[in-house]
Amino acid sequence: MGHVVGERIVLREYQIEDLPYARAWANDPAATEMLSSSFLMPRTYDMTENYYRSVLSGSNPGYHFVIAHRESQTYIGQIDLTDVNQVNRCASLGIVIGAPKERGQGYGREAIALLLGYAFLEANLHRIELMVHAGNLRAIKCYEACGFQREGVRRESHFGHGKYHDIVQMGILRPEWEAACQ
Amino acid sequence: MSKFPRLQGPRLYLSPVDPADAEIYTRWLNDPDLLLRLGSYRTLSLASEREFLERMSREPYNFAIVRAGDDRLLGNCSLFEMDPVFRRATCGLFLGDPESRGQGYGTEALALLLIHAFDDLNLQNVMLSVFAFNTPAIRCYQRLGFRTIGTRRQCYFAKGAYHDEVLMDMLREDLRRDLLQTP
Repeated sequence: MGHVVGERIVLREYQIEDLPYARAWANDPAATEMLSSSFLMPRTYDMTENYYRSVLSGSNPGYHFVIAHRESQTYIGQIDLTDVNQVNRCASLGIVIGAPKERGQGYGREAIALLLGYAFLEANLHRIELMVHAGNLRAIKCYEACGFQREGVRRESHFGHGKYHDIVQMGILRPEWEAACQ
Repeated sequence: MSKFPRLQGPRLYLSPVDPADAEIYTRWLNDPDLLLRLGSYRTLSLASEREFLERMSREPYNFAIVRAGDDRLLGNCSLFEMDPVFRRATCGLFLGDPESRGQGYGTEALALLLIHAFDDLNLQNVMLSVFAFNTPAIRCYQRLGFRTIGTRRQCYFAKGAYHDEVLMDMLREDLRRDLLQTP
């Protein structure tokens, strides 16, 4: 299995040439405030490069893709399956659309749809889960459109902008995804 | 006693491999009769067996077969060539002591290993290979639910002749779990 090709985008391998694109959003509050607390502190060049090196060398466990424009192959963002549990057939989804001009165009939704097909039909996974800020309504709407269900709320488990926020746990099982594909 | 009942059956249990048993393994693995069934023509030294057991003891799917009453080591069984995406593996076992053969210990050990493979490790297909002349082993595998998927012809040379190798496999639902019931 090589690239996962969609209508407008392709999920392709990370390339070292993508590093400047990743640096461009790594400290952009609009992109990072909805990400995990590892983005709480400004990300140094080394942090981003080390992450890229680990993915490029294959030493970072999981399934990692860059979301790119289908024709030009230029970087849009990143989508990754991490915490893959081989026995439970479960993994966590993470996604970033990097540049502001690329947001709101449905690329994320297309990337998730492609990734779910890959996860269930190629990687033989049974369940994909994710966590999202309860206030990130646009993301939640997108995940729901992709077939994810709200499974629960981790109350006040994230602190930012001076107060605690809820985190929503979402998940999709392979049979649900298959039924939705019919 | 350095035996630990990780997977418990009625008459025996599967324990982590103990490198301190190198001497008894070396004695077994220089028995021409056992070597013939295992398909090895090597002569095994105590030093290399100790090294091998050290390595095996650090891998998660190798087990010593131990009799329940007296904690006596009977042999070994393993899952190997495990593919985490395809959910498949190959299994193998041997009973070292000739006196422990023919009493259903192999069936019980393999049943414990296969239940572990399907119910704990979530595997879908487990395969094994056995030489065609080893009819007691083939009968044991058939009883457990393995079916023959093919024969690799004349791929093993020993005692002046070529021998066939039989490949057998089973899916989760093929396993005869009832064989583990206490008689």
